[in-house]
Amino acid sequence: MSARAAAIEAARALARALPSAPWSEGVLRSVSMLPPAQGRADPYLLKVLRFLAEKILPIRESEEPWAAPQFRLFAEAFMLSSEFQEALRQGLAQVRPRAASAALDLHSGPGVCLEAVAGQWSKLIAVDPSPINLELVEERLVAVGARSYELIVGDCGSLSGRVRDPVGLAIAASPVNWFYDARPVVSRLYSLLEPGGYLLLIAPLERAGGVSPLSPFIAALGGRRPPSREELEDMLLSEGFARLRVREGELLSAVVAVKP
Amino acid sequence: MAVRAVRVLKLRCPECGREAAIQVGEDTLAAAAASPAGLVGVADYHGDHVLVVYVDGEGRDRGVRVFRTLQRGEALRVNPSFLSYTGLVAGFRVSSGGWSVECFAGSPRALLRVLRNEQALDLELRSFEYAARVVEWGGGLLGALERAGLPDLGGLLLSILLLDANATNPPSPFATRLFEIALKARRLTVRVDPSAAELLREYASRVPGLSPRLVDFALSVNGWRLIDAVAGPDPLTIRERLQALMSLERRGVVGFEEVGA
Repeated sequence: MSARAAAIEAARALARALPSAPWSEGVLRSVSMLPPAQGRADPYLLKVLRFLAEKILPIRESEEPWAAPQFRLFAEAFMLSSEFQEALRQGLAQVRPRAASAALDLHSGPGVCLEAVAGQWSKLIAVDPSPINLELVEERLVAVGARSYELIVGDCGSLSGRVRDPVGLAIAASPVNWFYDARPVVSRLYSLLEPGGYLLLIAPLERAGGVSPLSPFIAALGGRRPPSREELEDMLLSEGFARLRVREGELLSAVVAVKP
Repeated sequence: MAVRAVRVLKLRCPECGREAAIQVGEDTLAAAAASPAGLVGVADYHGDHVLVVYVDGEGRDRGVRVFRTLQRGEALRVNPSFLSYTGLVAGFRVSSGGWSVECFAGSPRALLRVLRNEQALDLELRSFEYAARVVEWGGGLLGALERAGLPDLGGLLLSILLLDANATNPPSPFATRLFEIALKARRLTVRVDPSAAELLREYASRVPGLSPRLVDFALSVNGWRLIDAVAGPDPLTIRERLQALMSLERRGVVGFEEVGA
């Protein structure tokens, strides 16, 4: 079953649901650039993305789209999809946990990534602009028996001085990150990492000459264009990261880098 | 130490018709005798409303009244049978500038006091093992009360159940919002987004504390008042339903719409 086929099929549904608004044109253009879907669409992911397509207007029109209830539900459902879980698994396989260090998840969404690393790090820190997302994080962390965690309402622009000690793992993976430029996120996470600390990004990277099937959704949400793999690699290296590893999935890539 | 019930008043609630057995203890008789009016109110929890029986110093029924919202200057005692719903909390008193509500099965030997501006919460606990956490959760309840003003009495008792259910968990920074919803439970209507419910059903088994069965429950209470939606035959069911609805609200499957009191 294909995650890519699911996203392409749902993107066509998104195109049909769009109103005639100036911002719709860019979305329609990126949908028109998508190739025909190949293979059988992953039925779970198709439902998840069709839900997003159906709810795109109320989400986009809300004052804080990343905190809209429909987006919160979508983000959790998306992060539990096989495609996301596989990217997370592949990314975490490159990371050696340090029992004395903390793990931080920036723009954590519902906390699916922190739940996956609970028990491997001394402390878990979730940062998200939506307090209700942090309630979801807490729900998950309490359920897995996490004893030491911190929940911070904020984002990469307001985090300065709020994380006291450097962390051993910094994650930016949830769809809440779709609303942020990659460069300030990478830069902020670099400053929070301890030497030897790991950065884990999960993102729909554009491919040279092509469009990610998730790009129309991101554009329709009013999010930021995802960087291409090459742009992201340049960004990470110029920030000072080393030992880059990129695992490309059908829709999502897992990128791991180390702060020297 | 439990105080002997010197009298049990049996009466029917004029609001819901439920038969109520109100225990009147020696402390209640003493409180009535000491009050300027010679009466004390004893409250019985009926979900969205509270039946209050006024008792004189000799334990006679001097009138009943159904309360929805607490009145300024009111001092109510809740029928100790309410404590059969709680695990950790063996008695409590909540007081604010103008009112107080208490429920004790006897004379408490030790009380844990939580203070916040004009509000105070005194708790008798069956175990003090989790006292530090209880203080944090109690602070959340008082914070919510501060914002709520004169609270809905049924919502206040629902909040005590929530405090009791959560007090052994680490304190949550979001406790105040949880209690705010419970305090307003009579004024909130449950609204379900069917397409969101359909999506959640796909992965509900991977969400802590949820299941497709609870999603079905949420769909079945669409349009109900929250306080009616959580009402159940036993305290565990009430807790499970309230926590499930809160969990669904966080995910946007359920919305709580405030309607006039």
